[in-house]
Amino acid sequence: MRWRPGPGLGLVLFWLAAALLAPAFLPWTRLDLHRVLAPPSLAHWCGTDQLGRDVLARTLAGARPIFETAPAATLIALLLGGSAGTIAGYRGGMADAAIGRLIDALLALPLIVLALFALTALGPSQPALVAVIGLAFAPLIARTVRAAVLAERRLDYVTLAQLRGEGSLYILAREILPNIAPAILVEATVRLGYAVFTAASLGFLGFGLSPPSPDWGLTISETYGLMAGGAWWPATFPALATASLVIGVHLAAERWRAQGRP
Amino acid sequence: MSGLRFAAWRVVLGLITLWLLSVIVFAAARVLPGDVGRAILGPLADARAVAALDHALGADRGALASYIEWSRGLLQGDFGVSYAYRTPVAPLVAVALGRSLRLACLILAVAVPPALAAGLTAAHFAGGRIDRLLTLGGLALTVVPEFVTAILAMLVFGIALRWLPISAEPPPGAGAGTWLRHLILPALPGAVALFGYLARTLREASLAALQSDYLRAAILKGLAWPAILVRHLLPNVLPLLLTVLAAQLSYLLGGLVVVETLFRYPGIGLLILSAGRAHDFPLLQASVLVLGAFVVAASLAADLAVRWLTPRAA
Repeated sequence: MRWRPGPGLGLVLFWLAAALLAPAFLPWTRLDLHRVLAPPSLAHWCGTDQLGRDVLARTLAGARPIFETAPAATLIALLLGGSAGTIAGYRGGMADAAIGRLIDALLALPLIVLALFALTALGPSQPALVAVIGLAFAPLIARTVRAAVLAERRLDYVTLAQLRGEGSLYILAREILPNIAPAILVEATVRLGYAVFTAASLGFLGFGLSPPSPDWGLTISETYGLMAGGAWWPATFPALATASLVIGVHLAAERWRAQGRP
Repeated sequence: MSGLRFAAWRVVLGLITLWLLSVIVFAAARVLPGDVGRAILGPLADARAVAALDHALGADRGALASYIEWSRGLLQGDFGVSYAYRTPVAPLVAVALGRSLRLACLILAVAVPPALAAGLTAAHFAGGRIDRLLTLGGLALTVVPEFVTAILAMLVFGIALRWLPISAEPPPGAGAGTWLRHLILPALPGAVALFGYLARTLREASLAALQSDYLRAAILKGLAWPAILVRHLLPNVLPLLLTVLAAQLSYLLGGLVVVETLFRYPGIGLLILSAGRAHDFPLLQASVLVLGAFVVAASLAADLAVRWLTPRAA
């Protein structure tokens, strides 16, 4: 079946375009203390926030920090978790047991708690955020990759390569990897969705970027207190943006998984 | 492996996991910040003040020595003294954990029965419109961060419709009904996410069970749908439900950190967050470790229960 893009990919591409064009929205994100908390109108489609900044422009520009953080974090998780999972699955024995216990211990902690804990110790900054989310996601990817390698290891083509006298590295890279790559890529897309989720949540908790970044989680934490007073728009639009990007990534992963099946 | 040996083996594995967890927690609190005193006092503090604080906290000693002392304390039930509150950590953690468990129980009570119903319904009408709605809707509900769901729920139920209070704290002297009303909005984000995930997983499982030979035989011999459901489908799906719940517990508790912050509900999540913000490492270490231990224990209990529910595996 030919692969067709779905609504999920459309949403992701929309926010990617917003992230790339973010500097173009800057003129609208200036402070204007004469227009504080103006409700949505023709001049400001999504209203203005507590400092008079246009909510629509800030919401669009808020895609940028997410696209700087989530893909890099997913890549780190993929490299770390992929290597650990491959070693555990292919070598077996003590290495497998040790890595397995470590994964169990790390997964006993909620991801947010693990990340929050590490960020407390390291001090919040964007590189720390990327590294911590990457590290926190590595055990999950390791578990998936381990299971995939374990399933392939006993198959005839691997035995054949071993009998030919190929080295472990060659077998892993040239024989096993091409066979498990689709499964790993789907897993990585799902992780990307959760990386957006985690980065936004950490931003909301105050462990992500600092003001005046238009980061969605940060903006929501700054403005949700205004909702009780009736100013619902500064928090609601970044919330909808976060929801649409996360759902988009997961819909794309779901479609990919469904269509990738032979 | 006999049942007893399996149980003993799982307990040993659980204890190893707990020990590793304590090492990770200790390392994150003691080694990552580099200088604990500096992390607490900030970059502008006087170097002598930092050294004095390090000494008072015992942070200037070797990592191994202080790990041994800390874990010896843990084994005797001594979790240390909070830097910020200057009181023993254990009672603080116990009270907060109790509050969070109340919230978690409410989430389970709200999410599990509808998820079971939705999953079985979707499997029954597999491929139909209800099925598609539930699988795609379930996905959307699961993957959206809790604070986003919470903001939207606050907006709709708390502010537009004014049905529910948007603070988790009931007025003093309120009855159980008021208390419950104040917990509905905080419980909603977790419940919605869990519902979506469970419904999808249960749909897959019941779909697989419905295609098995013995269930098709039961359907073909004309057994009524309620009988199929209760006698054949549920016993098949229940062990999976337990496993999934145990696996999702850590995710659920992570969501509580966000939700408790949003609604100012003084549970373990808010405790972890405030300890993190105050650099109160003894409190942070203890609450994170207790949370992890709780997840390890739940996964152990679920494994044993599943083993007991499925005699086949023995």
